[in-house]
Amino acid sequence: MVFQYQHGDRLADIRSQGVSLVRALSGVPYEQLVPGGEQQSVVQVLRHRADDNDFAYVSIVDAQGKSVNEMVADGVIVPAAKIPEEPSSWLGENHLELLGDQRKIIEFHAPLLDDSDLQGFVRLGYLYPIVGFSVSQLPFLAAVALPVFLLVPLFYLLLRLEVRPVRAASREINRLIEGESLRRVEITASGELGEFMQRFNDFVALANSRIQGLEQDQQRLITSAKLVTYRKNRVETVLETLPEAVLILDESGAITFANQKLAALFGVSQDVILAQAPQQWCNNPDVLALLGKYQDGGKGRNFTDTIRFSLEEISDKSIATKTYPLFSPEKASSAFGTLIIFRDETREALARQARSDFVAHLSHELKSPLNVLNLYSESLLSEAGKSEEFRIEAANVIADEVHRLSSLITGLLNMTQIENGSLTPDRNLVKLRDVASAAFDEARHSAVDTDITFEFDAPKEMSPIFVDKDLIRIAITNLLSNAVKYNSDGGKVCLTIEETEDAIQIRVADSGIGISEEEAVKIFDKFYRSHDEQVQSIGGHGLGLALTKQIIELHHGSLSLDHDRTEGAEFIINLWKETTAVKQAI
Amino acid sequence: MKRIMIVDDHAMVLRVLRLGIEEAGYEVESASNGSECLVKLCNGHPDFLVTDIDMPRMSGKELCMAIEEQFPDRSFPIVVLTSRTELEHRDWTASIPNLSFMEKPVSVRRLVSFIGQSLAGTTEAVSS
Repeated sequence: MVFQYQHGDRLADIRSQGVSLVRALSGVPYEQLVPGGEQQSVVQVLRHRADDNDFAYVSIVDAQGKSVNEMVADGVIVPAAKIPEEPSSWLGENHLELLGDQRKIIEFHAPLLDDSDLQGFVRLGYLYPIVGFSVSQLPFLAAVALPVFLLVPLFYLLLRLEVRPVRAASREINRLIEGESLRRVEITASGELGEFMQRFNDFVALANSRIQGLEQDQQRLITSAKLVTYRKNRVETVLETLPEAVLILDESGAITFANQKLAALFGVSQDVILAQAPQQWCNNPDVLALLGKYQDGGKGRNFTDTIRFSLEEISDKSIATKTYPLFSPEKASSAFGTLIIFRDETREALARQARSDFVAHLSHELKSPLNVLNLYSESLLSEAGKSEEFRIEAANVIADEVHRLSSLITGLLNMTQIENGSLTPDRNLVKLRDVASAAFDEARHSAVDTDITFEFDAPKEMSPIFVDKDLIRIAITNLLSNAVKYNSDGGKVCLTIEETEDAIQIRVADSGIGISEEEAVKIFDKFYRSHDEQVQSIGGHGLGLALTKQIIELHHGSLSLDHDRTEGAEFIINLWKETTAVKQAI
Repeated sequence: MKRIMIVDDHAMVLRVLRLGIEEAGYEVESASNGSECLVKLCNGHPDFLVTDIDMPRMSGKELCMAIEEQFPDRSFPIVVLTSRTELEHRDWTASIPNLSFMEKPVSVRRLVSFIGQSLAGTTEAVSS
């Protein structure tokens, strides 16, 4: 670029010099340019131009182009002249080539006139300036190049020195990004970079400390969340494991928790209870009224509320609720919610009812003989008592009623003892036919006033069996007594004993009112009394079958009801023979 | 002579009550259960009716309700002998006027006295 610039500069110089010089020579009279003899021409005066590196030649030609005087630089052969024909192009320049070395020539030409007569032309040639290095430029170029050559490595070294820590810092930062870690960048640098790196490291330290803090906070949060989840799960598991149905209300009375048992109680899913209004899943007015009391700030609430209700549409369960205020651990004076426990009291209710029925029946059973005793004792003191016949009758009746009372009380005691486990059967080898026969005779005797017929069928020879004969007699008597009590007019009571290889089977059948399938599962329950009006009208305390079953089970036997009968009822006692019983016990 | 109807399934009870009431100067008619009593009522009403509750075929309760239904204009008082003391066992009597309870064990003397007062129109229910 420098050479190109110099070349352009020089060409302009040549053109300016050439044009002005050729014009100057054009004004000189022809004779002075081509003097005769020894006279020195103007052309010779221009000889010193030969020192000029670019000067090639000056030539005076006549009108025909023939050279008449010339002055040429060393080594230059003047090329043939091109004479311009048109006067308009007499003054101008041409670009020619030197003969021999083909260097380019820039030639300026001008006409030589004598009173408008063309006498010839002056040709002034300059060598075209050479583009590139020339020896003459060497000092200049050297002067320019030297500082460049000296400074470039210096700058390069300086740059390298300055850039190295920056590149190192960049590498380190890249490594941090790739390693996804934030640590101090160890770079030795001074000046601005040193300060920058110091600040960068301060920033890294600050960021690290912040990250550490955040990580600790996050760790604490995770631990805390885990703890909260664990506690929540623990509480929910406890609430789910509770045998009762549980409902938790918040301060506003909205349901916040319901366990599976509550959902099952109302026959809906837990989600339904949580998401829908109580009216959607419960149609029991008592429950809705209870929940209503806790809504809207719970103005009507009363934590002693207890209601008892039955969900007849869903089940025949008897439910009792109990409400407890939930106090905040921080502020014990205010309740932040309510716990409502729905307790299934069906068993208790049944037991209560059964116990109440039992006491009523028992009182009836006790009072009936007492009534007779009272009436007879009173009558003995009245006019009727004076009759010998009446006194004998009264004595018999009183003895019978005392026996009835006594057997009732013995039965109760036996039952209590069996239940407590304090009754040990007094087992002996017993001829079951004799025991059954005695019970049969007693039953037949007690029903002498009725038109019931009795049948007893037992093999005369039977293996003796290892039982408590008194208890077994009570069991058979109870079954026979029921067979008589619940029989119909002209009915029949059959006592049958059969012996098999392993057991002895006692069957007591009647032709009475029978037992419905629904009641068949309950009749062995203690205190159970049929709700059938017909049965209700017959005296009983709901103890006979329960006691009988307990006695038979105490002997490892079984008592069952024959379900296949269409008329009356048949109870079957199975007592295992000694060997089998012993084997089973082992 | 005033006629007293006694209903009880226990022959012994029936016999002793009859003796005591007859001794007090009343005529006694007896039935061993509710249905038998109802049949006899169709032939004529007594001046007083004494009935047990637990009886086969037709209980005392059923008898009282049947009387109330069949003879709404009856004039004779009824006394029910019962061993049940619980009030709920007496709910059914609320709609039946001129009916009293007497708890077992029954005293013939007290019963005769109650019948006498009742027939004289000066009685109060022995128990309610």
